[in-house]
Amino acid sequence: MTTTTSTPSATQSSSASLAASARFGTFAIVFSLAAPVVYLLCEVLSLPLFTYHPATSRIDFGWAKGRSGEGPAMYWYGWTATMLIVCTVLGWLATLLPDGVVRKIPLALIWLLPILAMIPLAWALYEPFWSKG
Amino acid sequence: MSVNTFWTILLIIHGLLAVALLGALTHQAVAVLMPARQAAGNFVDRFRAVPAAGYATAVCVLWVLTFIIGAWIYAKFRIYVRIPIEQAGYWKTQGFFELKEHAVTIGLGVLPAYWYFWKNARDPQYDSVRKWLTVLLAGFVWFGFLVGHVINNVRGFGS
Repeated sequence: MTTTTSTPSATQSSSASLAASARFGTFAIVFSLAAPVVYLLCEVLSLPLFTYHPATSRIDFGWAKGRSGEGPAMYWYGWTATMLIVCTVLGWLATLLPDGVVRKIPLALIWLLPILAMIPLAWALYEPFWSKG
Repeated sequence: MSVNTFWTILLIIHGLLAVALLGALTHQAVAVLMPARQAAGNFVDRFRAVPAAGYATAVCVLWVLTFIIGAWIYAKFRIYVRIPIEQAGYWKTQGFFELKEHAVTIGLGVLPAYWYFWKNARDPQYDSVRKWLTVLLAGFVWFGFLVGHVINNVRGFGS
């Protein structure tokens, strides 16, 4: 009878070391805290990184109005890109702070902020969609 | 392969990935809300007795893949589905789709913390936030899945 010994793969060990890293923890917590706030601000203040025009596949930097005869403009891709970039920068900056600073933030905000952000996001849809028909 | 077939296949893949994500997150959410004390028992006991921590990476990968394919389809959706939906006056349906778009993007944004908390599942300081973050993500996925399903019923690709 033979027995085999399993060795953890490179992926598993890198994943485990990432999970054990306090700096990654700080990055992940700040990224996730910032995400709903940054996304909400992007939507409310019209801050897409770029505007995509799907009918013509044209991309404009920043916010751009849909051009006449060229179909609608899409901002969601740009909001998402803005959110990912800003949150990555904020998460990285947080790793430069002293260890205890981020740990003072109440962790419950990570699930509360998304719920709170959904309220104005839903309200913003009332006028263009839910008040009709 | 026709253009319609291509986009329909992508939509089906998007839907299948969403089903897998829905299953994984529902298992996890039930496991954290009603932790099982023993594995054996009826269907509900077995459903909640899964090793929930093992789902975290799969959930993140599935969320990102579902998101990317959804974003790919979205450009076609904007032209070939949303415009007819608006012309037909299904404003509330489209409004819910917009809300789904917000929910899944915010969900994407909280995935790093979700993954970190599950990978440190033995740390009691993360117990509460891990539980409610998992329930929140499960809620977002259920909402997105149901809205996507209704939208597809109203006007799927090729209709």
